[in-house]
Amino acid sequence: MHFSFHRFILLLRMQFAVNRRMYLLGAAAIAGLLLVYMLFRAANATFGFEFDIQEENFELSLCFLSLVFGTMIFRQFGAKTRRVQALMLPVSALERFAVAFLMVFIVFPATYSGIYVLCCAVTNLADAHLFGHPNQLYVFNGDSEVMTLKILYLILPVVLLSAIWFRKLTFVKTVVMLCLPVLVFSFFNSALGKLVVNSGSPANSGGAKYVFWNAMPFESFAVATTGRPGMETVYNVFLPAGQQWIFTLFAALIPLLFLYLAYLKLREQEL
Amino acid sequence: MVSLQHLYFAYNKAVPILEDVNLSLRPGRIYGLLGKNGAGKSSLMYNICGLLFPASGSVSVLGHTPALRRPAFLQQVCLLPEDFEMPPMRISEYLRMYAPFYPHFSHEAFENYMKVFGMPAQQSLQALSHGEQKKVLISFTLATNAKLILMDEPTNGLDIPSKRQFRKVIAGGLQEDQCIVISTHQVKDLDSLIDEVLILEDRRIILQESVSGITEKLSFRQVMSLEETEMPVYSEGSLKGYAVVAVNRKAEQSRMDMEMFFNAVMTEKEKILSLFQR
Repeated sequence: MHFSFHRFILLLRMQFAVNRRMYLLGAAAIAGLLLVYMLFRAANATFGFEFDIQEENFELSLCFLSLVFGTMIFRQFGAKTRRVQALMLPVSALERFAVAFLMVFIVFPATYSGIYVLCCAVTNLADAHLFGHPNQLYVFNGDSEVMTLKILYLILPVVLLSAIWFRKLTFVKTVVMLCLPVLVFSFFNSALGKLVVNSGSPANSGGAKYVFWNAMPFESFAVATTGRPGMETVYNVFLPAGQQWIFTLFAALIPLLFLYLAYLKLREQEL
Repeated sequence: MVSLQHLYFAYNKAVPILEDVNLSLRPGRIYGLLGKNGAGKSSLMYNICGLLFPASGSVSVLGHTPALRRPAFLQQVCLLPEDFEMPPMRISEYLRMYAPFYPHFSHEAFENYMKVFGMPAQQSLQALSHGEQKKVLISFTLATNAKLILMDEPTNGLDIPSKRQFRKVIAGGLQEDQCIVISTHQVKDLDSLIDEVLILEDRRIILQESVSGITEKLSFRQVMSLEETEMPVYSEGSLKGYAVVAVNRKAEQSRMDMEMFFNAVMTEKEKILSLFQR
């Protein structure tokens, strides 16, 4: 693996210079859309642009826009005319990968967060002084930012891989690539759960039966007893916390595997 | 400098593009790579610079394996593609962004080449025509001082005066330790530049010969009637009679007509190749 910090900085500088117009226009467009949406909401919703809504919108939009941005990070490999020049540039695959990683994992989320908070602050002022809704301003002081970061950590490596894998319709293919495993997982998880419960019933059930409720591999398994509608009892069985680390470790390693695959795919790029 | 041995390459396994290609290129020379459309000229150049990976065989360029595309290799090899897209920036910014990747880049040489082409140094690349952008790219490619320069149809898109300027730039820019490979169909634009001819046909290099070696074996003449010449190998009717390629039995001095030579090889392959078999 060849890595030169000097070339990395040159490549990063070039990334900004070549895409400057797109980044500036993109940032302006995002800020404009956010302001329109936020001000509309502040003016029309009963309680204005509430704290919880600010937080929820931030998390959803950050995940979605990071996905969009991530799929465009290797756009220089899309068309043959750009591809030749990109591949002939004297940089290593690791340096390219490091720039893409920095842009997708750090620069975009940080920039977007800044834009969002700025728009939120403007809306919050208007909300309080013009529309009479003194809402608290969201400045990453919610409860679920860590969960958002975890989700980004899980999806962005897949996005990086598909950004280098697919030359055309990258965004659509990335969304399919992200959704397909979730659907397959949900199907098999549910099918396996039902198989485990089968037609089991509690002792002294009086005719009641167990039905599969939900399950999370290496974490919990929930069943409900059938009774009168609306009167089900749900039982949750949790794996001891000390044993859940297997799944946590497994889940944490998957994104690393995708990152490594993205690096390999970048290294073996041909015309 | 460049050594290809038993190179096989195919986009699709059933249809090989290059088969058992053997080639050796030396520094200080300009090679003209000729071949029909679809013969595999671009594929061969892309294999040499590591943009495509061979299915089998070995490629060694300046002691590197091109397919690994190590930065140290890419700093010494520069490709001028036929089609390209310039980034939306000024020429000066383009230089600031791209030149630092090439440790031997000469800003002075770049300015000189731009002057020869009559190009302004301060202009937005997007405001230039395709031909003008190509002149910037040619100037940049030569100013990198890369040891191996590969050019795919470099004169396509250049106007008539620019073709002369191109020849001037190439002839003046080549150094002893550099090697230039030019793949072209516009042989008339470049035949005065080329030192050695490579002909790619039937998926392999069928001929590698210096221009002096060719004119030693063959003579290129213009005659009014075919009776004037002894057993021409190949002839073409022209306004002034016939352009003839004949075996050079009397050690005549003649100027090689590359287009004629290529056509002669294509039509009288065995006859001509047998003259150059060693």
